[in-house]
Amino acid sequence: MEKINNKEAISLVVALCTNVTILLSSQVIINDCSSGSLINSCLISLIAIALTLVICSLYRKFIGLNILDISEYLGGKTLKTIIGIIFIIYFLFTSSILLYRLINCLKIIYYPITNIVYTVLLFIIAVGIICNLGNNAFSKANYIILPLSLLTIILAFIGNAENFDYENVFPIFGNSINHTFITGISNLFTFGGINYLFFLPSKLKNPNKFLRISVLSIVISSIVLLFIVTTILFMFNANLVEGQLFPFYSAVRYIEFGTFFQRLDSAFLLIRIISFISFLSITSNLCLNIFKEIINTSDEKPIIYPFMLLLFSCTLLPETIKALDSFHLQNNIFKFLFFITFALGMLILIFAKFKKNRKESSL
Amino acid sequence: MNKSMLKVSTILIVLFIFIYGFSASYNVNNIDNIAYVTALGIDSATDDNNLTITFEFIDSSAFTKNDSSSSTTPILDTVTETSINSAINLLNSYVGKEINLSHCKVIIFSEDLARKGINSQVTELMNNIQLRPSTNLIITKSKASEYIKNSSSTLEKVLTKYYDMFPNSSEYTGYTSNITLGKFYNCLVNKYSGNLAILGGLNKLSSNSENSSSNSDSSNSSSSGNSQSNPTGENSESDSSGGSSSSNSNDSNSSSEIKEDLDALKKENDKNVSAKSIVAGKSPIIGERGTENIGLAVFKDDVYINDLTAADTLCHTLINGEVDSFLININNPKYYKHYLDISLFHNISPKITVDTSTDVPEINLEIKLKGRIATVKDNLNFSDSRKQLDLNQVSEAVSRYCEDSLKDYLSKTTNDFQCDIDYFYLYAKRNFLTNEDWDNYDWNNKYLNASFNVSVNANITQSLLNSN
Amino acid sequence: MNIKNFFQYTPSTKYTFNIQETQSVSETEKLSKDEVKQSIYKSIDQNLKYVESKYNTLINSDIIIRTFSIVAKNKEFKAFLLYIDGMVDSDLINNYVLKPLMIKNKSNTFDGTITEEENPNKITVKKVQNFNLKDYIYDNLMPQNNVKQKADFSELFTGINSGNCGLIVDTIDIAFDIDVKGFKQRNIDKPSIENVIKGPQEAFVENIRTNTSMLRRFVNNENLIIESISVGKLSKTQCALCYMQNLANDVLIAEAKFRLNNLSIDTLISSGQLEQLIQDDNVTGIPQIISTERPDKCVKAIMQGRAVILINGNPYALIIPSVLIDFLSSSEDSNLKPLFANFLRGLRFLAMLITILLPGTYIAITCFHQELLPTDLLFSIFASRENVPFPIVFELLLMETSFELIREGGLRSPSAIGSTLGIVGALILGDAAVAANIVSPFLIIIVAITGLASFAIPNFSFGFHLRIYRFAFIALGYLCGFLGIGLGLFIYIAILCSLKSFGVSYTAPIAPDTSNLGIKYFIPPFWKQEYRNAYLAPKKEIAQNKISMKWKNSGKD
Repeated sequence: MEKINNKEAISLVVALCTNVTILLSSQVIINDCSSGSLINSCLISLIAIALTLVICSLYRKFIGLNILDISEYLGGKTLKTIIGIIFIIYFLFTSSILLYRLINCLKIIYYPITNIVYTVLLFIIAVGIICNLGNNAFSKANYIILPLSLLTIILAFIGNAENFDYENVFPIFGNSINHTFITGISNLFTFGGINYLFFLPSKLKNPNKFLRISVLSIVISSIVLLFIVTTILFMFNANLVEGQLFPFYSAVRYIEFGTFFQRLDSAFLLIRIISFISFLSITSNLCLNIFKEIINTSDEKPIIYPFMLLLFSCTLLPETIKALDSFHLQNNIFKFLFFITFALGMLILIFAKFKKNRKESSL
Repeated sequence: MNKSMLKVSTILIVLFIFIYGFSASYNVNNIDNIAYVTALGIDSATDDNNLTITFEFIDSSAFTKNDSSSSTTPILDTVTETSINSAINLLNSYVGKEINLSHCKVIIFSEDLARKGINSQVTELMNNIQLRPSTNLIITKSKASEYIKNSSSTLEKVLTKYYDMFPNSSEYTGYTSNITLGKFYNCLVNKYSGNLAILGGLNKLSSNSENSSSNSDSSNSSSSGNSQSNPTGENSESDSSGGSSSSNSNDSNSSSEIKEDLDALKKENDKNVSAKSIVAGKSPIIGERGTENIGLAVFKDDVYINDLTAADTLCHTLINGEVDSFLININNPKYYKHYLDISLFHNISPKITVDTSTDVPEINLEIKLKGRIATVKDNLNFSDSRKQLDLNQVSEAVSRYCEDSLKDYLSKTTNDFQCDIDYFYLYAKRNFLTNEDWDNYDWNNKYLNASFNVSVNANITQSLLNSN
Repeated sequence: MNIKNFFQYTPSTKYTFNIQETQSVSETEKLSKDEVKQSIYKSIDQNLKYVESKYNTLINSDIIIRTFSIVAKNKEFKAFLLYIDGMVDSDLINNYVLKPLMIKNKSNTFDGTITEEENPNKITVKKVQNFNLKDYIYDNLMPQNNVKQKADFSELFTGINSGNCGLIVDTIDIAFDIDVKGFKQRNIDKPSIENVIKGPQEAFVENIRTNTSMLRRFVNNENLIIESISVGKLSKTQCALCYMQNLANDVLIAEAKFRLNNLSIDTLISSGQLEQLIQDDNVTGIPQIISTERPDKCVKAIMQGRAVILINGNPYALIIPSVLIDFLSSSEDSNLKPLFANFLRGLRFLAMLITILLPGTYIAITCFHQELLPTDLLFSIFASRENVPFPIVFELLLMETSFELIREGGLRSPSAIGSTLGIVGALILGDAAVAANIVSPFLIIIVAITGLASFAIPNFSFGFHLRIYRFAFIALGYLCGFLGIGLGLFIYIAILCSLKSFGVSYTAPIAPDTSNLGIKYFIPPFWKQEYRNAYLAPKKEIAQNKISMKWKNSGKD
């Protein structure tokens, strides 16, 4: 398999984090912490960077291996399969939650009459085509698209600057200190891409640069997070955000550059769609790769369409089971999955390191 | 049957599925099936619960004609229904095209409706996907339908251009403010501040002609209209209490003066009218277009309670840093012995701090202005070195004048309006660490007792082209 | 094949080939000095070996070494002639070089003893006593006006590369550089498709030898290898693979040879056929090999470490590998100041976006997202469409199709009618269509801008694929607006990224962004183009010194 280079690797992780932030977690953060969101974002950014450093230091013993290889080293084939399936579930469910949210927005905004199934199907077919392409097309395309996506976020920030109420950051600690500093840590799931780091080393062209790549990508993601959270926070009253469908989109609706460039929100949505399809192709590709490694095949082509079907049905779950169609439930599922997978990954790394240390000392 | 044919047919089937799936949305959004509303007027109907909604459409055929002289004439349709969406729904069947609000530039509420509260309407409008939050919100003294009927494009060929442009004038006059639906809604949801909307009204000219044609419609307030016109003229030179009294008299729900004919109107214009008393519908402007937007409408929660006159609006925009440059005239010997027009602009944006350590919030306002003399009535020569001191005196006079106006204005907000329309709460929030503390402070009540320290520092330079 | 096989699993048989990019410039290369001058040996065998290795005569098809013996003063000396086929005049060599040297005549059978010869005028002529072969050949055996004696190989090779012929004789350490230039210059014509304002005005012709001689003259370096490979079992079409031996990546050359040698076809007639036969992917229709008629473009490619394939009987050369940005750059670019060139490159990128996206976006906006338009513009479109009976998509397809018809009609008709046809088609048809209310004037503008933009793409086949893909975007925009456009755009970008041209990523150097060295889409000033592109993995990365304008520094020393 073709390896990816440093800049592409960074853009992969940033794309994963950015899409989670923009579609889901920015709203969760502002709901939780209201005016303390900025502090909270800074805090979780620092924690994320610290955790990244920990992961990197643990990986120092396993250069060029991913979490599956390490779990095989630790607990054999069974553990590898279990870990693989858990990670597949994480990436599958998180992407389907985000896809459902995006498509819900699209339905309300553009396709009021169209059945949601068609829109989902369109996304799924597109991802299927991209997965079929090979040659790491998804990663290169993501590298081309990501700057555009980041640019729109920055433009949204600049374009809205005249509408900002800078005083919205006060009271500085938000709802309460507890909310901002302790329960707010659960907002770490905004760095959903951190779980991708477990699989990155085996994909890299220079695995030695892993530390630099992961830290840089998390730093960039946290800057993006700050941009998004600031834009929403300065634009709206915190209690307004809770009821919004897609707060960043609502903020973009205010942008006007003169009397000619008005109502740019559909252009913004275009970029978001492109950026999200990139996100979907990254996660789908990763799931396919994990699956490929578990069942030891060299060709992933035959499993693409079954997997797409799985993603399709997962996305439509909230449509059939109405109980799942709630913002809080969805973000709690997201949080839960994130922390389970992240903790598992960390545990495996730590145990594997112990095992390796013991082996080395026994030699 | 070979494989490539199978592939092609699969692609075709998929394509047809999608065409089928999306065709419904396609028909909804297609440009051919849409009628664009450029302005939306909302009145309360005679029946209490209903709304009378006026839709303004632009006759697009005017765009194809090449003669630039003819301006477009809007097409008006009026529906009485329970809500805006049901009105749109009803009108859809009449127009035959889907009504789309995405190019709606202004939303006009009538004073009557605004006094009843417009929370549900504004929320309904904000939830409309097509309507932009940047749409301007106007409260009109007359009926909204009359306002729309009388607004015509005079300088522009297309009315929408006027709608696009008029809020910009606030940046250099400060006599109104660019209040949008989104801004209004943000303040509405927020429980600490009052709310504002653009105040619009009919010109005297058009209101006269309108009233002569439909006298029976608005005969209820002829006396109040007369009584109101007198204090406007008299109090124009005194301090702002006159302004507030005149706006208080608006509570009697008069839409405009009625009995005056054109001569009386001109006579009144000859009197010295100052910005302190000007609100939309009572300005000394006589023009082609029948509408004007001057001043702001003050809301407490969602209920329209009072007006800000042009001068009050200037104070508001000055505090918020919205106005870039503006003109004041000092015509009061209390400040300066000569008549002066001073053109001022912001040196740096105003500095606002709120001290909440005691139960009486202390609001400090520091404004630095630069300015130049625009008009001098007595032909003084300021360039004369012996009279250099005069400039300092002028600066001092301007500062004191501004301070006094601001103080008057601020006391009006606490006493008359009883709500924080200048968003001081934003600055007060700084002093609290958590939302809980802030909620406990009970800003809404404390603000009523707030004390203000206003300091204006104006620096006037002489810059007349011909100083003699 | 039955329907069952459609669902059957067939293992992937995708042929993959990659060129490993160089990560950084090696230190040794940075320190390498100019090549040392080698003076000519006395022994002819040594000379022959040196020349053979330098010119790679085993694989270079147009380098000719003619060995023979010179008879001088009854002694035989071994000698050889070195020249490049196609650049010399054969008659000149036959009659005025080989003939005097080889045919035994009176003067060269002369044994060198002093004799007195009487002639009718009774003047005694003293013959040269000590025999000097060098002078003897120069004085007596060279009936040529322009013969130079060269002491080292590099000087000699310069002459040979420009069409001279070298004579090296045993026992002397001097080579003769004989002017026998005779390439066909009159047949070479101006380029007909790739016109430039500034720059050479030569184009390839059908004869492969003429073409190779053009490359030789431009390159003027003995490291240029022109390898002959015949393709086609029946036609045995002669193809030539040209590259710089010391620049081009060995793996790339091996792959190119491998592909050319493994073509099981009967006949090969055109470069277009060969392009299809050797390119990596034929499904998407995106060209991955540049075909050009300009020798200077080929030479530029060769000097970057690429390879060029010439086909006998075809005036188009194929440049391998070619990446996306090559299709958007013109040979004009390097002749202009970088500011202008980059402006043009930006314009071309815009043209590419317009060609592929504008009609689709127009459909998407008018059908789904009209709020994006400024109000006045919206009403203009609205008004212009008022009397048009067709739906927008039909209107657009109608105009796009008629535009393609005008283009094709103008191209196929005799050139005298062609331009008239274009005017009739574009002006009269468009005007009449608007007047008859069949299409809206706004749409004519859209189609016209799209058409103009598609002409601004320098590469014909690249522009062609954009025109085809444009229809896909029209369909997507019609289907579901920006959602379709967005998905389509990402898939298109992903397709571009998945392509490879001879092991090089198609989107290099943008998407696999390996090295900061080399040229990206926008070109730096010429003096800053210090490195060759890393994605080509050339043997020598440094193209010029860090300070190429030495004269600027000369004052300081």
